[in-house]
Amino acid sequence: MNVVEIKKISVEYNVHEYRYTTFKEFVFQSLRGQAGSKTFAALKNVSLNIQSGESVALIGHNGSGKSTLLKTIAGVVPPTKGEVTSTGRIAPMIELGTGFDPELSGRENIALSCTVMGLSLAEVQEIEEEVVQFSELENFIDLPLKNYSSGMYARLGFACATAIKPDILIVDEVLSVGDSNFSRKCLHRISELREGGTTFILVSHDPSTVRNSCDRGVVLENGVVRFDGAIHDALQTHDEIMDRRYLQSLPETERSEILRVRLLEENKARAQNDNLPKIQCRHWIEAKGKLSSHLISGQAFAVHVEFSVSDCDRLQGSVNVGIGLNTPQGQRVGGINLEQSGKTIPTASLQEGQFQKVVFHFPDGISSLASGAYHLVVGILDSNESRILLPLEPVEISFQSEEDKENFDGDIISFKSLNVRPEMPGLR
Amino acid sequence: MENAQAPLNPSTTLEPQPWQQWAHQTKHLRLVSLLVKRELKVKYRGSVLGYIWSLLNPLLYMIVLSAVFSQLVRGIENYSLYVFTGILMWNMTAMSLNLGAVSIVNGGSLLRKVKLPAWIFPVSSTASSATNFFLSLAPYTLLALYFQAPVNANIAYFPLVLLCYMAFVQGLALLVAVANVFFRDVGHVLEPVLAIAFYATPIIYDPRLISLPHLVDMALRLNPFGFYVQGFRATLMGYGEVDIRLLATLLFCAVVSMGAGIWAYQKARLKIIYQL
Repeated sequence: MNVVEIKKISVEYNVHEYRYTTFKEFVFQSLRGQAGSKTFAALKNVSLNIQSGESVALIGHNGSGKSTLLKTIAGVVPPTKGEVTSTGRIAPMIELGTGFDPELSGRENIALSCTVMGLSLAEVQEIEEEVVQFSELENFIDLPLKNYSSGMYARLGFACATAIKPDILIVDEVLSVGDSNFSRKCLHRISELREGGTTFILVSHDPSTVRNSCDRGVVLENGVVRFDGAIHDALQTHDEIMDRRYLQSLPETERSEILRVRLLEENKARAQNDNLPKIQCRHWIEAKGKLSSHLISGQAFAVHVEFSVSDCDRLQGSVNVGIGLNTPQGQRVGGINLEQSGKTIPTASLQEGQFQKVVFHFPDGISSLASGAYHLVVGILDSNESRILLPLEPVEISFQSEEDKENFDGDIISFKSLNVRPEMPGLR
Repeated sequence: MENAQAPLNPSTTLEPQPWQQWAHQTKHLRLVSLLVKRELKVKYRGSVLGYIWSLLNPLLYMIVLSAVFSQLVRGIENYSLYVFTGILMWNMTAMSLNLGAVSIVNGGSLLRKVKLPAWIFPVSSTASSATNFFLSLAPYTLLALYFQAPVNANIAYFPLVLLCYMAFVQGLALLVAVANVFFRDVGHVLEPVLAIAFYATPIIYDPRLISLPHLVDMALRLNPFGFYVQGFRATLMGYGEVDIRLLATLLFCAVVSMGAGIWAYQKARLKIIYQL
């Protein structure tokens, strides 16, 4: 069943060369014969059907008309031409806290906002406690809203908009507010609503949010629908449009230079891909003879890497294997590879499809490293070209240091193990 | 049951009848009541006397005006009460029009985000000022008792007079609210217009007791506010008579004003959002 039907709508705004807003200006401009106006079409002949339970993202550049489309669906902006029909209760989250008044208390604002969105008195009373609980504002709910922090305000607004159990939830770039705990709660609530059959329409510039929460994407450019389909393809179309627009905005010389460099890179990448040998690889960590992802300072462990190469003739030198330790943010803490240790695996010794094993032993373990989570990364490289043949998913490991007491929070290595000599000139 | 109620002609479901549209609109009245509550709450929040201000305000005006003008205006019985009824009526007008003029523009932040009819904003401004008026009827009763106003059976017409007046003011409020969306200086124009209207309305004087040039006299007699204040005094304090001609005039003005307001609103309804 279609919950939203948009038939060939256009939305045109009057753009006055000099827009009059007062009667005085209107009179003077009419006398001068300038009151005529140009029109700007925010949406041109857009047709769209949205089925019940769908989750749709509206994607487009700034000024592409996605917000206008959202507003016509919400019924806020009547289309100049065409027809929009939507069935069911709509919760428009075009801003968080629709209808809030800073002078009123949180509780009064729940009533006001939910009534604005079409709830009856009984329904408001029914959901009030739920809203208070969800927004975690039990202690502040009777304070005036002007005393709230922006996070509290956003929480209350979101709680109101989702508590009304809408048939269609419309969200315009508002999910990025609040702390991470709350935005996770928001996304959870939205997925709950979606499972309950709520149709979800989202405008966002954040590709990961869009990809995670929508199945379908509608790409707009200059008020026209350019693409309508699976979200992955929609994002790709959007990227292409954005790229084209970026290039168009550049001066001619710069544009041709960028295009030339791109073409070179593309050719290089293609050549590499064609020539890369196929590699299979597995890797793990052993400590005390057992598989482990927990390391303790000073305790011996070993990193095992096994790999096989299917097209040995494509290798351009010897094979090199490297390991590294990164912080979860990707900062390299340390690393080593075979070549640095003065060893190589000659291509001749590799047998097609046979697994070759490399073990990095750490007989004394690791010391002078702070406790915490790290990523172990493994790479198979081509020693001649330094090509990374196969970048592997990092292994998450945890490290526990015995020097912890002397370590400051957040240190990666303890300077106590280094040769550091503090000096205090002038002090006897 | 649902099938039995389904209309035979499917086109009726697509094109709702006007009365259906109106019935559909009444669901917004609950929001209007909340907006009125907000208006009054916000207005008096933070002041020590709170709501009492809305009662004291006309009293203070009455004291000042009757003290100043009682020497100039002679021959009116119960002059203080005469001024008080005038002020009560005028306060409702001024509040309703001043709030009404900016109501849709101020409600723009909401209209741009939620599907709501714009009329709820001028209607809640008039409802707020009417509520204010009802509150000040309490001190009026005390004053009327104190001054021993010659209240008579005509007070039975008071609800009718009040209803007509509310409709009259509502029509004007709707008109200025819509006009202000398109021309933002309506609010500025309103101020001097209301000041002139205050003096053109028999609030502190009785035109029958002063001799004026014929043209001015005619103009004053055609001022609709004059008819309403006459109606208020005749019903509330037994000053003057209530006859069918007066009631018919009050009703006529109310219908014309409401008609003009609704006409302007309907004409502008779809364009308002583009101007906010």
